[in-house]
Amino acid sequence: MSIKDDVVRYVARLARIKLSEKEVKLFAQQLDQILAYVDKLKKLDVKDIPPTSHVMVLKNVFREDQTRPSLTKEEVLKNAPQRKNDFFKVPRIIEET
Amino acid sequence: MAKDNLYAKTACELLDELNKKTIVSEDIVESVHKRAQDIDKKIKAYVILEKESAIKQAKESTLNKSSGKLKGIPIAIKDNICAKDELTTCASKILEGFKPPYNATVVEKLLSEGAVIFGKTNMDEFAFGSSCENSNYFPTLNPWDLERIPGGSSGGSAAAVAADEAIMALGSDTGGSIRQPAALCGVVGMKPTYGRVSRYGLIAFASSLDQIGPLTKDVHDAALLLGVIAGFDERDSTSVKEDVPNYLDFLVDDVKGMKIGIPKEYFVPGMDVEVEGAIREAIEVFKKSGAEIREVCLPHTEYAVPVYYIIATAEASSNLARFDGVQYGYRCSDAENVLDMHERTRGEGFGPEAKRRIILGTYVLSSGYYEAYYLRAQKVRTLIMSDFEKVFNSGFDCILTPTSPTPAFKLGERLDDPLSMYLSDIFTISVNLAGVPAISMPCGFTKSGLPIGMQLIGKPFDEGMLFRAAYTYESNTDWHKRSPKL
Repeated sequence: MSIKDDVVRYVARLARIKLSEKEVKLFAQQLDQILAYVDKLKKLDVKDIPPTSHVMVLKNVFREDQTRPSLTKEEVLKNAPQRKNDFFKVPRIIEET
Repeated sequence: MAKDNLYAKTACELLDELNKKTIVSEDIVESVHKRAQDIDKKIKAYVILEKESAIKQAKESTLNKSSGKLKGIPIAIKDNICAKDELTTCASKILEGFKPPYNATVVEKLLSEGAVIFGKTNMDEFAFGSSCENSNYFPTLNPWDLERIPGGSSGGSAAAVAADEAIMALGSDTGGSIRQPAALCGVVGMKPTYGRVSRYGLIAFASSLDQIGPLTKDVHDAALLLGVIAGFDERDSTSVKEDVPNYLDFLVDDVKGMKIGIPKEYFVPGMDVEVEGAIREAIEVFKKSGAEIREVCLPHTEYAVPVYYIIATAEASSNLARFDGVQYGYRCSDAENVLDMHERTRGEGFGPEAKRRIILGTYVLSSGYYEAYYLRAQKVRTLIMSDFEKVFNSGFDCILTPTSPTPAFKLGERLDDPLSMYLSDIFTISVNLAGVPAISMPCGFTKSGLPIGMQLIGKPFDEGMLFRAAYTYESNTDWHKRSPKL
């Protein structure tokens, strides 16, 4: 199976990454090559094998719901590319009707 | 004692001198800093080197009478580990200007033992790579041959230690990113058991695989540094409540009766003959020291790279969703709306390999492909883990393999061919998928003078056994004493 340019454009939109047409072509060709290699996994019969998402048996970790010190507003906001007062500033989200 | 060449010493040697009061910490910082100033123009291991804050910490460490385990020792930190108010960018444009408001747990632990944070080291962007060429800053070069790569992604940390520009360093390892550069630069590097070291403050790549670990000049220093950074941390719920032994107790020259497995799948046709020769000789050293050597099987080894590039990219695509131009780092200019801002910020902020991996990871997780790729890879991961369990359950103490199929390759050689770059990690990736610990150490040199690395793989939480085996090998060889001519 080969990756079409349209698939790369679609996935890039899902991932919220703007690609140039040159990048679309290059990635389509490189992903083809990588997926062809990855296809060797299809040789294995994995029907009855349980999946591993994590090497340890993970359980939810709970703690008491107690207040404790956290970062200050200033510390949280100081890295913001744009801020207004105590908020992160972003382009308008809700459009006027 | 002479104070101008302190940079060439190990942490343990320097701690001895500090304890004897023949030197103070500022002497070490001065010496290492001068060394870095002299040679980092060639190596480019550091992205930031701050002398003033290091000297300040060194003075505090000298004044402070408490006896920290790393009191006064300058340590370099990979650029994906958060240090409070220090630039931390993962060598990516998308994190330009980011100064974390907190320390990673490992940084806190270093500071509480009196260590001096010496600088941030270069890496492949977000740890995506095996050559340090995917950095947004510049490539780092191999101290043994300046036309070659140092390995990656912790290439800056490995090169800094190899070139005596750092006494010790921290790296991170998701598929070999500590061990492969350690091998290619001729230093010691360990990936601890998954959960051994807190990941709090390590900027995540693939959360089920990432671990922080030491890069050092010898095995003793690796044991010392791991002992400081290991342990449970309530801020990382995947760190494990398991006692941290005193790893220095394992540094004995004795492997009598130790059972070491040699996996036949790691000696593949096409493998570099000098690497294979060095590994065969290392096996003889272990035999002479009284270890029992047997061939073992890890039958699913050939599937490790494909499994990894599905699981690691899937996790990365999810982890890197947070870089959206809102809370920190780069934001594109003149966005029309929020979608445009996200897409252009990420399109302009991520480098080519980061984009490639996010696209691949998003693809294997997307509707219609999830079962064929992601779920299948998770199932094969189970098979890879059980390969290791079977070997260790049949009485083996550790497994010995080459760390990398080839010595350091030339700059640019694999940059346009992602798949050949991915295959650089063919011997290190299974270890992350299985969550087990492994150490890489020097075991020889090619005729042209490039270091060759050997990997020892252990049972979960049995880093001590690896230190014992590695220390025994080191005590009976002198590869670790060689230094690059710079």
